[in-house]
Amino acid sequence: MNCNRGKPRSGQEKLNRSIAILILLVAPVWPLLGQMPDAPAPAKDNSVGSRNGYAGDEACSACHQEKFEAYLGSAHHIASRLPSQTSIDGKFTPGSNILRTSNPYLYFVMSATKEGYFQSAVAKLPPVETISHKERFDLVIGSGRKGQTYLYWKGDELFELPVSYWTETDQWMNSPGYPDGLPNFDKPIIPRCLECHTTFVGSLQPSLNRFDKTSMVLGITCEKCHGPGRNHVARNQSKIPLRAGETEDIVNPASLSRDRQMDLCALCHAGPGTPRAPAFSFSAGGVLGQYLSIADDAPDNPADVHAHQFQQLRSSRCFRASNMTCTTCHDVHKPQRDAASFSEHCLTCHRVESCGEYSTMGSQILRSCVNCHMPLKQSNQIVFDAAGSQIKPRVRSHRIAIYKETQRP
Amino acid sequence: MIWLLAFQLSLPPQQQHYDNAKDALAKMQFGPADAEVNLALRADPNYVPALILKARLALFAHQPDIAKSCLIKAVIVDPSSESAQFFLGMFFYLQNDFSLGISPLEKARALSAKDPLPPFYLAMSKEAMGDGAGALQFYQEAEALSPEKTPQTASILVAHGRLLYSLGKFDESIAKDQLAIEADSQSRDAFYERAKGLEHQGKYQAAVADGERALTLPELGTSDSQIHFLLGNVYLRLNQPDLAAAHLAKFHAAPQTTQR
Repeated sequence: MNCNRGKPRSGQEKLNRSIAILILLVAPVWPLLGQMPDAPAPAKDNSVGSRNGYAGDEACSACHQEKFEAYLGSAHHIASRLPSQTSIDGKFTPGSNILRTSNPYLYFVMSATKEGYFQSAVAKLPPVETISHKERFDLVIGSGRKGQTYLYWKGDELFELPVSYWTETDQWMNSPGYPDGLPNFDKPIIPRCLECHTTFVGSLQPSLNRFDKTSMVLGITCEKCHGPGRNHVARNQSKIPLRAGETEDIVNPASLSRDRQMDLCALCHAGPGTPRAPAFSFSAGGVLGQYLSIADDAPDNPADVHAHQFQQLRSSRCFRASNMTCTTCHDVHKPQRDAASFSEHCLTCHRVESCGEYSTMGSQILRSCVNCHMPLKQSNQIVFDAAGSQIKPRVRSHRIAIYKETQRP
Repeated sequence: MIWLLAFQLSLPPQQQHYDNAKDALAKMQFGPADAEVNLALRADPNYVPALILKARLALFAHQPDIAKSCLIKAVIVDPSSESAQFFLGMFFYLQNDFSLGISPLEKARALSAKDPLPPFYLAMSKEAMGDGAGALQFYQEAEALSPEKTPQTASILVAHGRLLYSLGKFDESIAKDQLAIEADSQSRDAFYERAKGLEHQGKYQAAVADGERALTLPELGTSDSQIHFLLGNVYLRLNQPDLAAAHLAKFHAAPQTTQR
């Protein structure tokens, strides 16, 4: 199946640009350009386009309350939310709710009213004509750690709003991929975008950005990584023990092989890739290569720091020389914000005395492994066109290496 | 419905496309508006309303060459079109070609004596050319033709007040700004200009109030950095160095631009 079959090349390129929207977060995506072979058989009873077999977070929280409550504060959990005063990080107060553009005749205003939250493009056509276009914030995409972008519904079609929020500068910003100075509201959201920013949404045909709103499961919930859990819940509620030869009804990623563990993270942390199967058909424990073709980290075309953690880590000597996975350092069940605290994971294999800087800096480098060996680097994939200039945010490199340019802590 | 459909089908194609373009523009769909106006001009390359609309779209999209060629063609095709003459004059004003704008604006003024916009742009052009007396005369005319309390009236009053300020007539300038605020309570320019006048008169607290209010208004025109600069200086005079420093820091942090 080819999602873009029959579309002219220019349409594909337009879609290409549209993907940059969701780049604010952990998992950008790219257009679905490639030929999709037949989808592999869905794992368990998670049929594509439905939520069969899923139980929902509430069912998980009953038995796994501690993990669940910690997870509520994680960036994954709030990868997508409904708009509210707390979920939208941008300011609506007068004076802070305006985004001026490089076009002297155009600005955007963000407003909070009893009817909801809105973005308005206001154009002043000389001499005195004012025209405007207003759309509602319907979905908030992004935890706000880097930034947020916002989506709106037009019927059952989903589009990106032209103004995003960028945390580093605490200001509204032209959404990535939208040209600065134009009042466009026309960037469609394709399923691959939502595959990484929601747990599930059913697609409607024929349009690529039409979805069944009622099926949407916001945030990255437990079952995104653990697979559908209805049978697991039922079994445990009925207290029926597993019989000999039976396997658990739930996926424990920690018990998967290294490759399958990496596949699970790579679904959203290896770039958009080229889909080989419909979005949301991959299930935890599956072989990602059957669903998604992932670009390699070629020496002449290294993976961007943003959202290519999988390729970057895989090219690192630490990864090749060990059995490490993403969860060697990351505990996805809880928020992890302090880069310095990750150093302790490095020191399970490395001795601090072996660092070349140890002789001059002593023990103060104990918490600096990440800052030097996984520095923040500018992304070339996320580019904001803002007020006539381009802004490229810095993202943590996941290629663990000795960087000559990094400064001492 | 059938009558409406029949009426629409009876329209010449250039007008149908022109109407579609206007509808698209009203919905802020610049791409479709441009496409429709091109279709209108394909149906009739001399269709003046479409030429003017295309020029306005081009101005919005930073394409002054296209705007200019459309407007020149429009006045050649129909020299009696007040809109064509006015928009050509306005175009020259926006491009800082003030002397070139005078003639079409004069023609527009003659063609539509009750429209305040031609004298308004004549006033601003005269002011830009250093003819203060001529500018004041046209500002008064524009004001007289625009008695309603609208943003357009506020724009005329603010520009008039700004000229009075530059001529040292601060009381009159503040009075114009006051009228502008009454005409449009969301006029950022009016609050900023009144703050400037009040600062000059030593009424710093009132100037601060107007400046802070201006910062909260979204209108285009006066930039944030202009207001921060004003507030920084006024807070210094009020012996509030922290607030002054904060505003001046924002002024310095603003992107350096030649755009006002």
